[in-house]
Amino acid sequence: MSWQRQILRVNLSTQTCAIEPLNMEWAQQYMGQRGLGTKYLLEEMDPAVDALSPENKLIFATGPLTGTMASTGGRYSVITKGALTGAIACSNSGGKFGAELKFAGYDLVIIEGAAAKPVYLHIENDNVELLDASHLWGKSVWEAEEMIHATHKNPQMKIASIGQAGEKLCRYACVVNDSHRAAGRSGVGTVMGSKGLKAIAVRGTKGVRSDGDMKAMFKTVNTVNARMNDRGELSRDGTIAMMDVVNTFGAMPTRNNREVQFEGADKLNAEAMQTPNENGHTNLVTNAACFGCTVACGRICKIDPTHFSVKDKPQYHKASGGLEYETAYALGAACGVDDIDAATYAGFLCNEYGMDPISLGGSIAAAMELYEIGAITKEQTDGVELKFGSAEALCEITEMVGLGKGFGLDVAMGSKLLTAKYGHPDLSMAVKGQEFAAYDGRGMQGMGLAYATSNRGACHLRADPYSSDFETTDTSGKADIVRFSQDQVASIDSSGLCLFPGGAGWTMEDYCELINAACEGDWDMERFNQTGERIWNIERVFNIRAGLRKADDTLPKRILEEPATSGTAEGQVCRLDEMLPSYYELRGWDSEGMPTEATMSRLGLI
Amino acid sequence: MLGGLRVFLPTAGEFSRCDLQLNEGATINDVIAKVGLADDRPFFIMFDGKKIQEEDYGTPLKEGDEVIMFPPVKGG
Ligand code: SF4
Repeated sequence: MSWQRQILRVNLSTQTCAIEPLNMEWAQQYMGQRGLGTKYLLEEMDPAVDALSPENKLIFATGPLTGTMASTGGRYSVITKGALTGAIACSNSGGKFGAELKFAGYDLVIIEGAAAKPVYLHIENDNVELLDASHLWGKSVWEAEEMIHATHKNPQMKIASIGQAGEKLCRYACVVNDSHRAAGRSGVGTVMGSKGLKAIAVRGTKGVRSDGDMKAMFKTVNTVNARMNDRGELSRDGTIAMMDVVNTFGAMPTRNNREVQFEGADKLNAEAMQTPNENGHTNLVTNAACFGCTVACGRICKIDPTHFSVKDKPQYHKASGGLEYETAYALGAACGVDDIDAATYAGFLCNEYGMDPISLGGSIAAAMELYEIGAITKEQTDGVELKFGSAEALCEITEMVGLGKGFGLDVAMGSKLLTAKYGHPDLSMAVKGQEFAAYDGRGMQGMGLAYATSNRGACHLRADPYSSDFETTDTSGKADIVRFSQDQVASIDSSGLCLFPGGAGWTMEDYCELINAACEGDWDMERFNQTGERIWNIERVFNIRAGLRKADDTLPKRILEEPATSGTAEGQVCRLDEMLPSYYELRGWDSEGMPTEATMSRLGLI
Repeated sequence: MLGGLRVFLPTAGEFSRCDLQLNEGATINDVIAKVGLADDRPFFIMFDGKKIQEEDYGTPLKEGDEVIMFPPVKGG
């Protein structure tokens, strides 16, 4: 179980591949996936280099539980310096690719340099080769997957690739695996594009190592899995069940965070997805699971074939990855669009072209506001009537961003550079250049702090302030909740397991029990928490060396100064100033947000 | 009843809401008792457009009032 004890190093500049032993000392300290990938990155590269230069490295990392029989144990992460943020980037994906990479015998694949001509990496256990990808360049994720499968004729092969968005260096391009699962955020696909690496195609038949106590592992997996199986809610309604809750509460970022409740939410929610429309068409087809997952929260959906977006495009009439809550927010509420088919279509395009729907939606929302205030004109948008609420504009701009055409190239820069270009930088709803997820920091104060302090830029999956935020908007105690949960999430992200069972019955102790059963040594809660804290701090060190400072731990003016217009937090702004100083203190950082010597030494970092 | 709480809806058919007949002077506490949420099920309540605290669950209701219950959800 646990580690394969091997890494694969691929240098694209010299076109060489080498298998090396895994540094087991680091594995014991950083577990795997997010933690271990970040440790290698920090040790091997200068964080100050340009994210799109050959000096940046790109790491695909599995965790000790990836590929095991633990439920949700199919995760892998892509770690690099983010093209969108200039900060540490670590994007996590499910599907089946991660487990396959592990079965081929690797804990990590480290990609270095840049290829002179497009290539893809073909891995079959120990046989590793870089192959010409000239014929794949310019193709979408879906086309590239099909073509690679046609070449190798191995249906068991799993593929992670970039689409046109990554090739054209859209700042929030993602890496898509298994057609519609993605390492989505921070522009990890952009870095892959800058290296001329189109895809990684892998087939592994080694399984996971069985040098631990297999019987004990089986037993733990069974008991821990059972603690989750009785909650079918995520599989029935998916993450989109959050839509009603967050909207009713009043934390739904709407029309570029101008409002916190979206009047069209009931056209995008779980009920809308499951109810036939006037043509008798139902959006949801079925649910889907990642490798070994007993939750199966994924949505497989179909667009109404009579909808304007796909009317003459039969290739989009088949079922594919549908709206998750974040996608529905970003391609719906953020843009004021209440058309479930349009949002589903834009979501399909995100998978096809390889773009992060959250940053895409946030960037389109910023562009819509720029358009509405007259900062950009119809001539500049290539004739697109870029108004909030326009499903047509959403679909058109998404196509233009994905293919890198016209005004799409401006939106592809992300909201930070886009709004700066047109003279209104305050309209970028982002932290460290990364657009908000589906929660407003005024209604959810702890989430405001979590966004501001997230090492990879605004993110809803870097801390767990949810319960506290739904309980109260009082900021007392939130700094500690955010800090503590950031550490725990960092550990889960390094294990190979998924965060979502945390909403389906699993406790931190359950995660810890699984890690303890799979990994060598004693993994108790104290070690679990401290490992997370160590990971959080090396990410911070990476960012400091990359040039980020306290000034980057902040929120847009709108969230700090414009009160919420309705909902639970009506009249309130995010009171970040009440939380940030105590957050730094609790972290053992100085007032400028720098880890103190005592903290670094306590965590074994100096 | 939003999110996962909809499994506790007393009548089948509606996705996340239902009408309840309550006695004159009934409170939010009576609604909670009537829908029979499992004891171990944490939930929050919105009333009149705002999240309310537990001490306000004694608020008396009138005809047509809407009580919204939702579970602690996370992720997405
Ligand atoms: S809970 Fe959902 S996202 Fe997580 S592993 Fe299972 S299907 Fe994938």
